[in-house]
Formats: sequence, C-alpha cells, structure tokens
Amino acid sequence: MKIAVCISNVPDTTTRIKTDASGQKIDLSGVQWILNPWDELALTRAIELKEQNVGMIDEIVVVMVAPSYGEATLRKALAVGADRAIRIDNDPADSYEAAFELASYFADQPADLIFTGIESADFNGSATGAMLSLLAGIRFMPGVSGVFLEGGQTIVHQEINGMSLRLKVSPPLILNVQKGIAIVPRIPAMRGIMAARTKPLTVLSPKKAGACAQVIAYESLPPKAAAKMIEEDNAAMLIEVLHNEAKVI
Amino acid sequence: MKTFVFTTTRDNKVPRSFFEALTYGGSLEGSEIIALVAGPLSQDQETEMQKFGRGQIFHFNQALPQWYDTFYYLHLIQSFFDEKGEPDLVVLGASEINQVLGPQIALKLSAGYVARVISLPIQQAPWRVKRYAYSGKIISHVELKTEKAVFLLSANVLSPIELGAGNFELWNALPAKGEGVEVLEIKRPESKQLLTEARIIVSGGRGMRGPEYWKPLEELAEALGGATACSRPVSDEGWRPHHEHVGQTGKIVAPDLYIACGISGAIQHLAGISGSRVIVAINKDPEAPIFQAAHYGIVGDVHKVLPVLVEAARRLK
Repeated sequence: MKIAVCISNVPDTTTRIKTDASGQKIDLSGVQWILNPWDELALTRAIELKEQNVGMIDEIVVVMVAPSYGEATLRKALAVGADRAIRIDNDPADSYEAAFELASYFADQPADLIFTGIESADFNGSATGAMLSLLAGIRFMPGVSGVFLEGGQTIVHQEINGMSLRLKVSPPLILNVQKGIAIVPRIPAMRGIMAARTKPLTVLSPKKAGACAQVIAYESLPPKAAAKMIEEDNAAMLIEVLHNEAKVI
Repeated sequence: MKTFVFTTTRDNKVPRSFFEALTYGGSLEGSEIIALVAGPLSQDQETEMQKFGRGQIFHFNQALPQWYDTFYYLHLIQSFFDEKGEPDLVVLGASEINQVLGPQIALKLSAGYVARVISLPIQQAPWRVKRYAYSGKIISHVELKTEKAVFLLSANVLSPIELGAGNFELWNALPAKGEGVEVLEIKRPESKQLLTEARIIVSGGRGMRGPEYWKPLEELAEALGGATACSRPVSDEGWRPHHEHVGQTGKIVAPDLYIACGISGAIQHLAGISGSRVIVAINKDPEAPIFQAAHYGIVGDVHKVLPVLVEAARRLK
C-alpha cells in the first residue's frame, strides 16, 4: 500500500501578515514557513499507520505544489518520516490550479490513500481536496478525524455536520483530514534530519492549467476600538449591556 | 442571471445559513433565485420558508444518506441542473456540507470558486468579492476569470431579510446509490446546536482550572440559549470533547456573541473566532491578549463572575 500526503507550505501562525508597497501582494520577506498544521497532522497519522502496520505500507510520499522555497518544508516532512518528496514547480493562484497539478500527478503516480488537510492556513479555501477528488475520480472522504487499517480495509472516522460515523471503505481514497486525525504532530529527530538529506526530493514541471480566481488586492482589517471594561464586582452589568447596547442577547 | 442556492436539512430543519444565502443571492441585480432544499422538513419549517423565501424553492423530500456521500449530492444537484438549467451563480451558506460541495459544483460548472466570502460582490463582471485570508488576519479581494461563480459565504455576514416572496414546491429525483461504503457506527453528539451555526457561544479555557468546574459555564450557555465550546489545551487535555475545540485547527465560528472564559487568546484561538460579532473576555490576567480582540471585558475570577452572569441571564429571561 502506498500513502501520499499532500502538503502545503504556509507562513507560521504567529507571522504578522502585511502587504508590500503595491498593496496587491503579501510581503513575504521575513516570513517563517511551516508545514500547514493540518497536513502536519495528516503526515503524523500516515507515519503512525506505517509503524503500526508493519510491512503493509510500502512508502509515504509527500507532494507539494510550490516554488523552490517550499523545499525546506518538504525536507522537514522527510525528516519527520516521509520516504520521498515531490515538488511540482508552480505557485498556484487558487485551489483549482493546485488541485489540477495534484490530479495530473496522481493520474501518473497513483496512491491508495491520499491525505489532504482540511484547509491551508494561508488561503483558507478548504477546496483543494474536494476538487482533486473530482478531477482524479477518486472517492472523497471529508471530515476525517481518524483512519485505521484492518485486513485490507480502511476504517474511517468521519465527523461532519454534527454527526460522528465509523465507516469501512476500500481504497483508493482521498481523506480530507481534520482535528483528531493525530493528536501531537511529530517533530524531526536528529536521526531523521540526517536521513532526510539523502532521501529523494524530485522536482516535476507543472501542467499550468491556469487559475480561475486571483487575488487582486488586500485590505487591512478595520481597526477595533478598545474593549469596554466592566468591574468584576459589577459583573451582572455585562448581561444588561449585551442586551441593551450590543443587542446580542 | 440564474442564482442557485442549496442546503441540506438537519433534524428536519433548514439552517439559518440557507436564508443568509437566499438574502445574499436576492440582493444582486438581475438575480433570479432557484433553490434546492434536500432532506425532510417539519411543518413549521415550511412557514419559515414562505417567510424568508424568494424565487423558486424546490424541496427534495427524502431521507438523506447516513454518511456524507459526495457522489450522492453531486448527482442530485446535477439532476436538478439537467432539469432546471445550469445556474450562472451559486451562493452557498456556511456549512460543513456546502464547504465540500462548493468546490465540486464549481468544477462541474467550470465556475470560479471563492470560499468564506464576507461581502456582497464589489462588482459583477468580472466577479469581484472580499474574503478573509491568512486565518482572518487580512481581507483579500478576489477576482474571477470565469463567467460563472460559486460563492461559499462566511457565517453571519448578513441577516436574513423577510420577503415572503418564495414559491415552495416539491421536486423529486432518482438518487444515486452510494456503493462501497459500509456504515459501522453512527453517533449523535450530545449537543444539539452545531458550533458553526450557533448564535451564542460560551467557551472555556485553561483558566477554568478543570473539567469539574464547567457547570456554571454550561448553565450560562443554557440560560442564553447558546452552545458550549473550548480552547485547544482544554480539548487536548481531554477536559472537553474534541468537537468543542474552537480555533485554527478546530472549528472556525462566527456567532453573534462569543464569551471567552479563562481563555488567554493565543493567536490560534483568535483565528477561530475573528468572525464573531461581539466578543466578551473574562480573565484574571489583564494583560491576556484576548482583551485586544474583545469588545467587552471583565478582569476577574471566572469562578466568581460566571454564577453572577448565570443569575442575571436567567433574570433577563
């Protein structure tokens, strides 16, 4: 069995996001890039599956659609435990462009289980996995909060729309993973970092389908007034203010 | 311009996000609404539909699959388009199901897709809308290169307007059979309200000190008719269930009122609540970053403050 984890390279959560002088692009200087938090959990789960099901999983491939600066994050994924990495050399402007590149790759290099994170922390579109599924013609499992292998079958925990389900499905599958898939993300150990240096990282040329959408400008959030403070001894006032002033209760 | 709006029902009810989407679609110039509601509905919901409806609303009155089968819904929507014609615009209210369907409908229609839209379009040709990016840290203006568009709205971006101009009728189709999936177990969560749809959320952080202190928080939520939630450390510690976790890697919420009790306000948590209309912070540390995000604040001990709020909230009722 082969597992692929689609990973995205995003600014660290604590990064201050600001635009460049043109106002049309994010100023990427000084941005610290990290493995997208959901993809990191997906990768963690993939590695756990490989460890728990000895001999069942031949390899874990991480796939990224990104310019060359994404490679540091790919190396990190290798250090954590992926066997090899693929970078498709494109800087996608929207989810469609990213999904198209991934679908083209998987048409050529199929995998049994393809993990996608529920969203990326940069564009927050939550669309790439769903689009990849339709483009690649592979069954889509949204809201996946757990995955287990049992005798050639895949057991998937799905939490969506307030329901919690346990399902038995056969690969190939695209698993759109969310909270719960793994609890603590793996961090690279020294041995992993050394091993990552010699693991294969392949760069593929893009298909460049073209994007359907593009960001043409950015706007800062409107400034927020300071919080109105209420004394602890007068806490009941809060309910009154929420009712009469804010009118939310 | 034909505007398609879609929702599934839950507990025989239509989510508010459907009426938000109808109001959004109906606010656009030259827009003619054609909507599809999939799933069983209770009687009073049909009255709601008349009240907030506009255009033509069709009701697919059949039980929906137990698990979330994208093939099923896509087939259903495709059958609808085959019969009623393809729309020029699709407006979807914020829901976990629409979040999955939106991108796929966009592909089917060769339409551009924009998620978490926060405003009416800046312009219609080409389409230009605003949305949050970088987990709520900035607003981006997105322009589509396609004639058709699919917009997934952020929750609570506008209030449904009563128009009473909807025509509501039944519509039927032969549903696709989902194959190759065996449902082993189904669990309904304890809470009735979905966090992503709740209008009022009372949320607790590590400052609550432990799961045994949650009672007043639950009482406040109940008195206000809201849902309970928590921060990441709380769900990681197992004090509260995972589905209550609000924040970047948990649920992204946008209620009218978010009351943060003993939550310091880490940036990951703020990313999950920035769409809230009013944020209240109760924390003993006056320097806690949550106060920067809050509209109202109380510096104090949650265990003293909460019972007072519960009493006041009950009196209000």
